[in-house]
Amino acid sequence: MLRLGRAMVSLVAVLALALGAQAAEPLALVPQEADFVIALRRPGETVDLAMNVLRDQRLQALPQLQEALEQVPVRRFLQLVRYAERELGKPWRQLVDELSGDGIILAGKYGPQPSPILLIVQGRDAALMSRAMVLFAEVLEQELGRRDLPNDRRVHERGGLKVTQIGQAYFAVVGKAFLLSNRLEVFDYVAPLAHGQVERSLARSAKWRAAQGSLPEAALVWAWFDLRPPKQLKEVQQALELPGDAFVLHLLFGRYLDVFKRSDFVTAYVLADSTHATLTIHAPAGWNGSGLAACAQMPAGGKGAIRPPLQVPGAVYSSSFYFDPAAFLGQRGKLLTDKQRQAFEEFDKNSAKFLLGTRFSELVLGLGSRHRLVVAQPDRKTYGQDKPATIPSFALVLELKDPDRLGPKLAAIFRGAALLVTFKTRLELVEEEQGGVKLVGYRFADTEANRAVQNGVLFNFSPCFAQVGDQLVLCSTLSLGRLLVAELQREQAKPEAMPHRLFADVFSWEGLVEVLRSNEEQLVVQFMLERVQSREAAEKQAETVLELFRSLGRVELRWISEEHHSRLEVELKPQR
Amino acid sequence: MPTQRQDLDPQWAWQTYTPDEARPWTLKWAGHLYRRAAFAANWSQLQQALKEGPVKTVDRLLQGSGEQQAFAAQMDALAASIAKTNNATHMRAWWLACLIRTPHPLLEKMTLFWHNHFATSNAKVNNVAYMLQQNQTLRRFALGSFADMLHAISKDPAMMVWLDTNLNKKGKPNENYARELMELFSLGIGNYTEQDIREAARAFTGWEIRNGQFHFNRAEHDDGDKTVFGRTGRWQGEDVVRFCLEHPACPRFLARKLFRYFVSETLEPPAELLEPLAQQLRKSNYAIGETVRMILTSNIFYSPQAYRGRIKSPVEFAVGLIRALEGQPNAVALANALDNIGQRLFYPPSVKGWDGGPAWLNPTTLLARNNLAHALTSGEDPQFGSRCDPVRLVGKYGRQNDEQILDFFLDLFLQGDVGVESRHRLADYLRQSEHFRWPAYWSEQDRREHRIRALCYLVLSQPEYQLD
Repeated sequence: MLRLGRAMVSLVAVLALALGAQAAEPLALVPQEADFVIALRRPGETVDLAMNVLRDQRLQALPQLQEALEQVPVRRFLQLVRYAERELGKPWRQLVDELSGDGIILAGKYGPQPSPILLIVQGRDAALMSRAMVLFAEVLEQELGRRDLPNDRRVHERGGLKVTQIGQAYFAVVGKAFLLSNRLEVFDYVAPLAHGQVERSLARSAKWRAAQGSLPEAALVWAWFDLRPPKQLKEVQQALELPGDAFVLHLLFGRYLDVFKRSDFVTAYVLADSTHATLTIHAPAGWNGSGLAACAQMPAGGKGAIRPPLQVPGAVYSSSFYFDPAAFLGQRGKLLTDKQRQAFEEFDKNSAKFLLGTRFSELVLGLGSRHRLVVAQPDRKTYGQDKPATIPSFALVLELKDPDRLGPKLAAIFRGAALLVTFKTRLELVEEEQGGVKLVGYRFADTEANRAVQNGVLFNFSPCFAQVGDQLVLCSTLSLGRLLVAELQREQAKPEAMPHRLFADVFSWEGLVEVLRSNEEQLVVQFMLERVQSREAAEKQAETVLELFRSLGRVELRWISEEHHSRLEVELKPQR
Repeated sequence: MPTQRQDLDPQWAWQTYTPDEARPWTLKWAGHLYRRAAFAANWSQLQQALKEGPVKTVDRLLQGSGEQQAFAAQMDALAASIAKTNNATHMRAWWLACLIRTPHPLLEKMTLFWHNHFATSNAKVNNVAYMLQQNQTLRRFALGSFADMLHAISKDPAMMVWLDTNLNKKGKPNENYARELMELFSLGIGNYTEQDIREAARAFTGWEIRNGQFHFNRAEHDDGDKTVFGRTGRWQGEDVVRFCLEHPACPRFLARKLFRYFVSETLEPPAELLEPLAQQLRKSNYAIGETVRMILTSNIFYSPQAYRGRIKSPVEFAVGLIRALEGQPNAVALANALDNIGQRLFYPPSVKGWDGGPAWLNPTTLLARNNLAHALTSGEDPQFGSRCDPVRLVGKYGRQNDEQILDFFLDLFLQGDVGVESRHRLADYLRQSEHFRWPAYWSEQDRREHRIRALCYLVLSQPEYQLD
């Protein structure tokens, strides 16, 4: 009887293996109950890319990397790889392909810990996968044992699947796939899929089919998140409510909240090759149907286009974005609670007292919707060589709807504010003419009191403002102010627009290198203290790090709003 | 063996310890001397001390090695860079690097003592250059003249900001510095009156900082008569400092603090026991080096009352461990790790400094100490890597088998000062770990190295290792 029972179990297991072998796509083994999936489509290719990065000579020259590779956990990992090669009889790169060539997937459900997680590694050789599982079980058992953690081995039967438990890990092989979970019950949901009931898999579900189209075949890594469960949470619903307490959140992040509110899912994917990589986050909600939350950050009817980000020498970060504060103000009756609205009206009424007779709302209503922000480290000559700039310059470039009327009012307010500052500290006025544009700036006087403020931090600033057509420049230093005035004058001669984009950011590693160069002494000291080495060695190391950063090129971010979907693209463009 | 009464006999207590059959010069006392005077000894230093005897070893510790000058120049240059960048993390890491690498550990140990005596925190000073300048002043006088140091520290910019001397103006005297000068820096409570403080505060008026240095502003100085300790005159700040140094309570006050730091923080010494030490300070015009020599060569220093009579501060714990292991860890990571154990250099909690003693230890800090010991020695912590590797040390000193290795660690860290039961437990670990089911992919060398590191950590986790 016992023998018959064993034979039956074996038969079921063999059948399960055979059935499971049909499912070559790991998604077919993910139950439809899953709330999220993260997938590595071609692990071999990803490993090759990572190895190429590690082989970079500049990276290899870093002592930190050498030291990291000599650390005990890294050495042990490499030994484990060699052990697997020996035991499975194939070189590691081949093992990656044969054991995970058809992808790796991590799926799970949101919820209280420990929420269920399922890892699926889809190989191409069922026999090899079975041997790999034996090896995995052995290593896991020994590793847990040496750490004094529970490592008893038990075998469970779940819907015809033989599930092995060691400690808190549950795993099984289904055909060419290896499955690992933190909860035994997960296999109750997996078992029917392994037996071919694919209609119960996520791959066949309506929620997945809606998202599938947004994920390109070429993606190296992709992810899908169901947004419906979190939106059912009371806290989230409260945060999204308008009018409500979170109006600042809506003012600052309205476009994201609006898209989140209208989307059932969000997907993300990475496209990469040896020259660049792009991460795209996609949501199925575009400008069509946008709600009140997005009124300041999404133009009605998809109209409107931002200007290109400003590029000046030494730019670290340059951002161009759509933000229409007048629209927010216009909708304040719907966006703000009665209490909030009353508080604002009160503030607005009193604001004229310190804004030289102009109300705050009048200033806001005079602003346009296409603004820009720049952080840069230009050459600075405002103060002497003994006061090196350690804080980057930054500027806000605002669009004015009615520049002739609002410009002079704002200039008067800024001059008044500067006058107030002179009561606290000594400032010197600097006025410059640049192609018909007046740049008004202020220098901190070289006094004992100014030098004493935080080791001379004031000498990182020479605040200034200028108006170039409908563009108002507010800048932390005269050096950047001059560059921006020139750039805006060039732009006026040949205006450009970027349709459908709600923001476009450019981060330059080269600019960051310039910022770090102005703080290079800190970097050198850090390396000397970290690694107990001579100044010469630390300087060389700093040079290597800066060169490595420079080689990373640029990172570009853009938010594109189409009629029915939105996407955020983050593109890494290393230097060739 | 001396009895406890004999130990407390002042005459016997301060006589030079001469090893004999009853009280031989052993590894135990060499380790004790190095812990108190140099954080800890490495294996070579212990062997050298054993060979040379106590007096010669104390001489060597007081002199420091010939490399001190080059080392100081190198660290001063680094400090100058840190001062310019005003980076407080680098400042803390810099001093830790000094403590770990110095060829003159007694000088650093004394600098640490004075840092706690003239406790000044960058939390208020908020100026790295000032703090480093003070640290260098403390180091300059650490084994020199306390009298000169007290004068120098009174005009030290960090101290002037910390205790508001720079805000002390004619007509609006600020008493902070005058009070702490008497209470915490030179005399102790009960040796001055409130009137003395009020009058002394007037003497410090007009003391300012200009261009990062002390500046005397005559216009802001109260030039009238003041009566301090019964002496009346148009005193200035320097006069008040001098009066404090001339006060009979000053050498007694300092002697008590040095006794607590070097001899015992649990034994409350009677006045007559401290008197010879106070006399030494008085007759040498506060020569600290000579006084420290008197302590480190004394009978009482090598007595049961002094042995393991202190709890290591977190800095002493970490620096001692690293120096014994001949390690060179990442000083920035170490500075951050020490924050969790309760001692943030350059940031004492108040003008009284760290309380020390039992206050250093509680379940949280003890756990954090053990975690730090593990991070430093396991080779598995990404911040510290294998730069304090017990395996390398065992190899360097040629220890081969389990018994040799266990004896080596017990001698190095505890000088064999561990109970029989604890030793058995450690030996048991070694025996049992021979038969562990190690991961199959580990090599024989992995298993050996892991056992050595684990054993080292277990020795460092012994309660005795927390004691100085």
